[in-house]
Amino acid sequence: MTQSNLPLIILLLPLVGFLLNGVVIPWAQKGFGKTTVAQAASASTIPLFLAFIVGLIAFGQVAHAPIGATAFSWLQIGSFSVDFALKIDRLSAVLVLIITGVGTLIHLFSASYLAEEPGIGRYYSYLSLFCFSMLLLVLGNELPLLFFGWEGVGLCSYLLIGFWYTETEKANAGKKAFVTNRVGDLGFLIGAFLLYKMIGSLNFDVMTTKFAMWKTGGYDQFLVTATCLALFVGATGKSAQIPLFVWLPDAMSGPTPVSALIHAATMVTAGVYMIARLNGLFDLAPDALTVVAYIGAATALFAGTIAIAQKDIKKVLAYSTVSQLGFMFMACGVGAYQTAVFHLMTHAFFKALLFLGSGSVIHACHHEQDMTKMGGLKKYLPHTHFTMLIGSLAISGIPFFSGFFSKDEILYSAIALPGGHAGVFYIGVATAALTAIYTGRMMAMTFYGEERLDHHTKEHLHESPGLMLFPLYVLAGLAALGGLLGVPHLMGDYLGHMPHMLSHWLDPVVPARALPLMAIKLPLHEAVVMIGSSVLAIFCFALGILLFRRHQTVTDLVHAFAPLEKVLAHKYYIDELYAAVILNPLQKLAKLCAEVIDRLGVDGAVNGFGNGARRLGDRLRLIQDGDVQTAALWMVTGLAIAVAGILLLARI
Amino acid sequence: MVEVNILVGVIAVFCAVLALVMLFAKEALTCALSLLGILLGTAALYAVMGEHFVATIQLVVYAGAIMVLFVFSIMLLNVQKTGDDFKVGTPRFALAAVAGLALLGVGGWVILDFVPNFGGEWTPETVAQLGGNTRVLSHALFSRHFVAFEAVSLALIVALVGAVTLAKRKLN
Amino acid sequence: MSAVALPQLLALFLFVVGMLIVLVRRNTIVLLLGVELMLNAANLSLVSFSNNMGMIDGQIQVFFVITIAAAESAVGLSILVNLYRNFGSVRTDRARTLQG
Repeated sequence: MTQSNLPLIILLLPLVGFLLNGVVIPWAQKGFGKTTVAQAASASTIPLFLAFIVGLIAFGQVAHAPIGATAFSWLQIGSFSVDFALKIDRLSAVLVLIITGVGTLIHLFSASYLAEEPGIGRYYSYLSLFCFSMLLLVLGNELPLLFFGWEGVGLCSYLLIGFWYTETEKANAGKKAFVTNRVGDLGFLIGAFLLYKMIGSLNFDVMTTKFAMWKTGGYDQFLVTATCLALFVGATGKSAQIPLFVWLPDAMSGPTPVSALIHAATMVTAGVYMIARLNGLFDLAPDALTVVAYIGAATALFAGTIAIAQKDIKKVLAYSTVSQLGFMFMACGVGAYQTAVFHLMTHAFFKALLFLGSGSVIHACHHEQDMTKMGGLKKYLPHTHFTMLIGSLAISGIPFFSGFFSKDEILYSAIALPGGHAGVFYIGVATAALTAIYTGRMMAMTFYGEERLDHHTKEHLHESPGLMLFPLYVLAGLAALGGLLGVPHLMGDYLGHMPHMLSHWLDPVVPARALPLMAIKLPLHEAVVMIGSSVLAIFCFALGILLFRRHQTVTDLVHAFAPLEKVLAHKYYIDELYAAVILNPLQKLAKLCAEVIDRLGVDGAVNGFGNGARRLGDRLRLIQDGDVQTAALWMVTGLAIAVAGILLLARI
Repeated sequence: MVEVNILVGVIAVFCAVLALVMLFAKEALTCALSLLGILLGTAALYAVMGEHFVATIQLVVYAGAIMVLFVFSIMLLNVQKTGDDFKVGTPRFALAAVAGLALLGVGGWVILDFVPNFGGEWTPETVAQLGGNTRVLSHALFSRHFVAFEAVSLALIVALVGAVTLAKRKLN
Repeated sequence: MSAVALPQLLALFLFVVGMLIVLVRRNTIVLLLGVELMLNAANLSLVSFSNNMGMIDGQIQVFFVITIAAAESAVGLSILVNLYRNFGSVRTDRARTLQG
């Protein structure tokens, strides 16, 4: 590993943006809330863009060897020591580029989207702090540093989701996100403790070496499996899997660019990054991997079914995100870590694109988010439509767009790898179909068909300004062409030996699994899977568009679906379930503690002591009767006892 | 030796009886006169022991000045028979009596076991040779204990001023 | 019983009785008389020891004690006069302002 200051520079640039927007500019203007959009935006965007440039330079350097730096010695407690050590290797370089690149685009988009927001300085300071935390998460070479970033992004997501905190619902959404994350973090911490117990260090280099050593044995299987499961619990919290995904749909209360950055491109992928980083450990616990795979699959299908019954465009995208994250965990669970990272990358592109596009639509429709009140927007918002169409094609897995390559690889790995499962494959296929259908539904309800806008909105309908369109087009390009970084060998050989560039890039860090042409778990040839999934995707997407041009819900098509529709629209009543099973008992317990244990018990004891002291004082006070001779009498008595005692004792 | 012991014994009994009278008498004047008697008895004891100077001082200062002062105060304040001065059966008296008896007992035990150390140089013969008790004492007082003597004079002045200040009527 | 024992015992007895007077009697003048009795008893003890042991320091000390006792009784009687003025009586149980 070569020493370099680049990781530190990349890390600190967004922090500069945070300090500018959070401290310097308010100090200069003698107050918060007086920042103009231009000031706030440039204070945050320029450092982040510079970080992107530096990231590119680092990317070039990392091709030879990882670059790292240790800023200072952070914790030294007995034999436990953690340094503030940063490292960019091939895996984190990819993520750094995603964070800074997509982040810059979103910063630009926000400048236009939130042009009339009075708290814009605060917004950009939070965004910069978020980027700093996320970069710390991926750049840290020690698990506590990763956790520091982990918590930091959790904090920023709370701040940003509850950005308009004066509305109670939005503030509660922020709170829900933070608390749910925290529950997962307990699992993460337990995993970290177990890792320290097993290895004695939390440095990733040390850990990776140890994992490699353990391939030949010498580890406690139970502890390793427990650690993996504990860490995965943390990942379910951060990456919104079952059972801790409930915060992500509520998180749509925040501004749309926030949803794009945090809940599409970066924060939710932290869990996947962590598993990819610790792939050596997870490989040693096949049982844990099975759990990961099946939970990912279940979450994907679960969220997909909910998405198809949602009316709010952002909620559709939120559940779509949960579903795609499920895909990423499916990939991790079958051992295809590279594929998970690949899907992470393509997902960042097309999901951010879809979210920003929906932001553009919402902005045009005067903050209307209900798709049943949209329709036929294609001729009013041509650019938005075009870019969102590309995003939809990508997410549905239509061939040659980015989503196709990554999703296909996941599906094939599920049956081709030794760690794969056929069940995961079937669920994945079903979810892919659902994805295409609900994405088509979303496009149809928003852009095609009859116009259901109300008169007032239609008057103000206009295409978004250039500053919003520029990021959309850049992301559309990436969503369209990003897949070419991961062309599978089967196709690459036909197209003139095009290599699977991402796989070769990640090989030294995240090992590749050679995918045989003939799947192991299910006897299918890779080409069969590829062609089959393409056909399915195209068919379902077209179906989605055609069916939902005229109708809005599945019930409109199939009347018998109505009761199920209700359940899906209410997201399987899972929030109500949690409230009844967990939240209400907790609140009752808290009430018991506050009113009984605290008021009667603790306060009673403390007050009791006070009262007792006072009563004792009252009694003792009466000894003083104002008579000097009484005092003299007591004195003499004491004297007599003392003298007698001393003399007698001396005699004895 | 035997005569002296008998004489000392008689004076001792006299003083002891007067002390008890002082404890139990109801009138303040009776107490004052009892104390006077005790002082006279003590002066006699000093004289018997050959301490002529101290005996004289005792008579002049203690019996002569202090007791006069007390009798004057009793007269000035017109203190009369104060009635139920104290009850013998009270817990206060009982506790005091117990403490007193304890001190008596222990003290008596110590005294009776005491073997004094005769290391001094001022035997009666030496004293007589040097000109008598008074001359010896005054010689020691004005040579070795001179500073204390002056300090006591100062203390007397302070006491004088203090007594006058405390007792005078406040000027309105 | 040595030659010094009888005066010592007398001194002890006078001291204890003086102490009892201070503790028990309610008349302030009698109380002051008790204090004088205690001082006198101490003097007696000092003188008899000094006489018996052949040192004259005891007698010198008695000289000072008597002087100071005189001063102290003068000041004490002035305080008594003040007490009489403020509380209207010489009884000790009249001055109960510090009663808890």
